[in-house]
Amino acid sequence: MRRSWFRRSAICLLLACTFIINGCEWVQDPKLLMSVPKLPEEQANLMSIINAQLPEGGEKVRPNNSTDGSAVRMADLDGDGKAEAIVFYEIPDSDVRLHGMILKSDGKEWKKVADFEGGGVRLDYVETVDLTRDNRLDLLVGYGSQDRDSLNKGMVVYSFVNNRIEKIFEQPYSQAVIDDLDGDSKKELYIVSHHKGKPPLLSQYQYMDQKLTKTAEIQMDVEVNAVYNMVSGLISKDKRGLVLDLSVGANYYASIGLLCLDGQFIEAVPMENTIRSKSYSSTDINNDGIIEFVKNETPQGWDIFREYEVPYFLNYFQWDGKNELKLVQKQYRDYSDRFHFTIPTSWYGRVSVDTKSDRDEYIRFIDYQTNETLAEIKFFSIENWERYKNKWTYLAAYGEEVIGILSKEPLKLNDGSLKLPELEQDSETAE
Amino acid sequence: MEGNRFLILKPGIRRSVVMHYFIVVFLTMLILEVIFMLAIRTYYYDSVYNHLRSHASATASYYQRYVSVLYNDNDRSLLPELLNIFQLDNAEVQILDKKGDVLISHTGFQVKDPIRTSDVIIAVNEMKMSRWVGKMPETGEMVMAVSSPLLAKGDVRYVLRLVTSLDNVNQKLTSTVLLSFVISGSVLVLVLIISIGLANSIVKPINDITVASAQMAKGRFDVRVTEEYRYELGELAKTLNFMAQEIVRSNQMKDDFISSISHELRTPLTGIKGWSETLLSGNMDDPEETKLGLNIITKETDRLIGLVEELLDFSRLKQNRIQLHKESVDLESLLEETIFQVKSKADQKQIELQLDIAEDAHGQLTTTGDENRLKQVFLNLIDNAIKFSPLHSTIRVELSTGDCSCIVKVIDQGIGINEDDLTKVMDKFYQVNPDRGGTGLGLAISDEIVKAHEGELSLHSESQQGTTAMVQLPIRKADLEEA
Repeated sequence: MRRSWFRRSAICLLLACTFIINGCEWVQDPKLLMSVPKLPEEQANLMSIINAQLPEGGEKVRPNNSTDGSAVRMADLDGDGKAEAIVFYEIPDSDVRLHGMILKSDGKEWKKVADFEGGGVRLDYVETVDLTRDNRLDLLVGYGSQDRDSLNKGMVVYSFVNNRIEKIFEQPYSQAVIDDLDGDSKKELYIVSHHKGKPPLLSQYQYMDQKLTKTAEIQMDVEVNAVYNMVSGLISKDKRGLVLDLSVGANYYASIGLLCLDGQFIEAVPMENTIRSKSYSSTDINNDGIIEFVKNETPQGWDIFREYEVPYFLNYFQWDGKNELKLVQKQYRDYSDRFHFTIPTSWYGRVSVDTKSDRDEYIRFIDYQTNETLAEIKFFSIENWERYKNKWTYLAAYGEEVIGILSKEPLKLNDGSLKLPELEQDSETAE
Repeated sequence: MEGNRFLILKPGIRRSVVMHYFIVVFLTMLILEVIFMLAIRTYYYDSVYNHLRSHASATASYYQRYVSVLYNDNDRSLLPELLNIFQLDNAEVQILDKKGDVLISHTGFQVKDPIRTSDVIIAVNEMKMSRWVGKMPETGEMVMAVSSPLLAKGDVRYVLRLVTSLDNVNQKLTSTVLLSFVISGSVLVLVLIISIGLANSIVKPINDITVASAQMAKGRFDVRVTEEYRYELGELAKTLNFMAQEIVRSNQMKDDFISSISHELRTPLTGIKGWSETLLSGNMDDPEETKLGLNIITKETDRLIGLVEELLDFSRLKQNRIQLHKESVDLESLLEETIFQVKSKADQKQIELQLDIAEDAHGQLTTTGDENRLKQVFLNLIDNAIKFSPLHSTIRVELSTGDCSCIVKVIDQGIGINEDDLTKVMDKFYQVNPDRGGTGLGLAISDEIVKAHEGELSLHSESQQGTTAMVQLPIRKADLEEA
């Protein structure tokens, strides 16, 4: 009796052992078990079809300058209530590098319904918007050249009808914006094009007589060399318009604000008010939905210095809708953009930079009436920073240096965040 | 049959032993299992997290040091390039803005809904890297997401989010845990089998003992339990065997008693009957003969009464129903009286009785007790001594004092008592030689009486050398105080 137990136990033990040994990779490197998360079924199907449709060596490309940088764009181009997939791909070393294809789903399966050749070598811009006023989205594609900063790129508008893709518009462009600025609730296309020997030209296109027609145009001032940024939106509390950031004359910059009324561009904010020394872009700096104009300000006492030595303040203005620009934000921005911070409103009208400051070592902000120190900015070596970091506030790190600020009143740094980031990249982050 | 015994565990020691083992091992296994599960899960998740984290922190710091300074705030053309920098095998890379909107994702599809999981919120608000484990809203897949803030000029510009599927990890965990369950299960079975064996090793002797004792209960006192078991069970077996032996012995004693008492009762009755018949059939006119006959009848009846009294006495003593009339007793005069009483009997065997009284005990040794009962004790002891002494010998009665006690010794030069019998002579009904007559109660009664006086009766003997009976009685308190 006793012997049989032992036999049984021995067999059990043996079984367990073999089981353990056979299940060999008992502990596996967890890294090897990682995998890309699955796509939702629909997207996974689509992606596999797309990959199957790509020719050999073909690779999906993303637009460089679109708000939506996805490689597969979903949009309802034919107005059937279901989104089609738009994919651009490039085949290096072929006659036509850029191609596009459109895939449609019949509810179960995706099928390629159109394939078209693009121009240029880079995909700059992709947008879907109804320009033809037929309640179907049109496909706007900007093709760029190899040179990133080339002035002109090609804008093509495609229409997708009956599973066929049709080119309905083609123009060179440098900046493009689609918006409804004349209030007819139809989108217009605004294009800036550069011309040799002539100032840049801003044109408005609208769909008329079965095609996109130029309905307005304005030439920039003769001194304007280029338009480096164009944004549309509210340029005052109640007026929609365009803001163009310009490079003007011999190395200075400015912006103009344009309204578009009755087929006419009207210069609402002239460029004289926004002349600056650097190519800052107009933007909605305070997130109130209204685009601000940007301008340099030379601090008190720096008039006698050379232009490139001046530690400029950067002022953001809002247009009041008539002829005044109102200051909404003042910043100090480093000349090589290593850091910036927003100057508190209490300093307005009295802040300046001590002329003995060195922009690469030590900057002292003063009340120029009393010469009282308002804040200091200092460049520390990383070792030194360890000693000062309790007292000083971290502003930025650049190469081997840490830039800190010491201020009497609490500052809203950068975008209003008061928190300090961890300097050490390897710092343990507790969960 | 064996199999059945394993399968159906009836309530009993075996089952409770097996259950105890089972419960202890089961709990141990359970606790270990839980710890193991937690540990291995932590190990796997942490390893994945560390991998993602080291990639995120390395690329994020690369971005901060070299990339962020070169680009303007609103430069979107940077994003595809960033995606390439952050590229990680087996993980989806997403770049989010501070609101949680996905600006660009590795999958190529646009993610419409902003991501508001804890990792993103912590990255934006606390500028810390953290992880989030949860289910993907679209696919329900378990994923781990690690978000790292991408700092530019001291502020969060973007959030880098790495997402990896935990499906394989979880699968691995499940299979590992299952395997460990199987192992624990087999260990449990093993333990169960071993514990049944163990339980049997305890239960089997108990069963054997039970069987043996049941037989004993039925009267088979010749049955013996094996005494080779270890520890308590061995003791139990020995005790049981001893008990059986004692029962046999006391039965034997009782039988002897009955036969001796019958004999003892019959002897006077024979005398009474013989004389009564003689008187009835004989000539009533011979007053001499009649007187002799009646005398003998009376004597024999007295003997019978004495015997019965003795028996009654003993049972009363046993039941503690005897009444002691305690008073001060002078031992010296008591002993003198006793010796005087047995003198005629001793003279018959020409035995000399000596009374030795220690010097310090002269006329002052008193104890508290029932004089008649104590006299009965001494009478019995001296009577016994006379009974077992040869002719022309001497019996000494000594009186002395001990520690707070008076000691009376009756020393004879008789046949003595065997060592074996010495321990038993004070048992009731025990007689060294049952053929010699008597009830075998005398010493037992004496012992009870001495005990009732808080004293002690002991015997020392050497075979053929003589026996010493010693009675120790407490000295009267008043005397002690005087002393």
